[in-house]
Amino acid sequence: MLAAGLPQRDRDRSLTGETRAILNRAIDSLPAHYRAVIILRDVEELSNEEIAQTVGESVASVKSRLHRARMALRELLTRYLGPRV
Amino acid sequence: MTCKEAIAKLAEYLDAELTPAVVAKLEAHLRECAPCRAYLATYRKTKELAAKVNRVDMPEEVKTRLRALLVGQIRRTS
Repeated sequence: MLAAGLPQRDRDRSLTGETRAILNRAIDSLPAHYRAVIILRDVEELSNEEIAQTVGESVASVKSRLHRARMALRELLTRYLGPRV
Repeated sequence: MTCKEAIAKLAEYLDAELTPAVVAKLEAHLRECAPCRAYLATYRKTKELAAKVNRVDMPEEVKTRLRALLVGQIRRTS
């Protein structure tokens, strides 16, 4: 979703193609509101405060949503990658 | 501290946002609880992997529109 047809930056060469594909698939399969908060926080590196201000939620609410999103992503990655996570 | 309480604090633990007293309680729990240590390891790895998703260079206007889209997706579930 993010990389299609555009030049990449900060690409980490340590990830194998298979792991990268699984990671992208796992993120794409998250519910949209979980995927959104992970992209804003972990990929785009916005702070919790910046996200809260933009979305109009409290910082506590953003933190809670981010935690649930990471737990959901963790569940998918451990299922797909097993001991590599 | 219970396992449920420990898991609930992992995000703030990794972001170094907990008070020293809570960190001490959490780390005491982790020393005694192998399943929570394993959970922390995979949770930490998940965060690291998410940060390695392909980021792309894009015009500021496109970036603004993408963020607006993502923010809209969060707001629809608030």
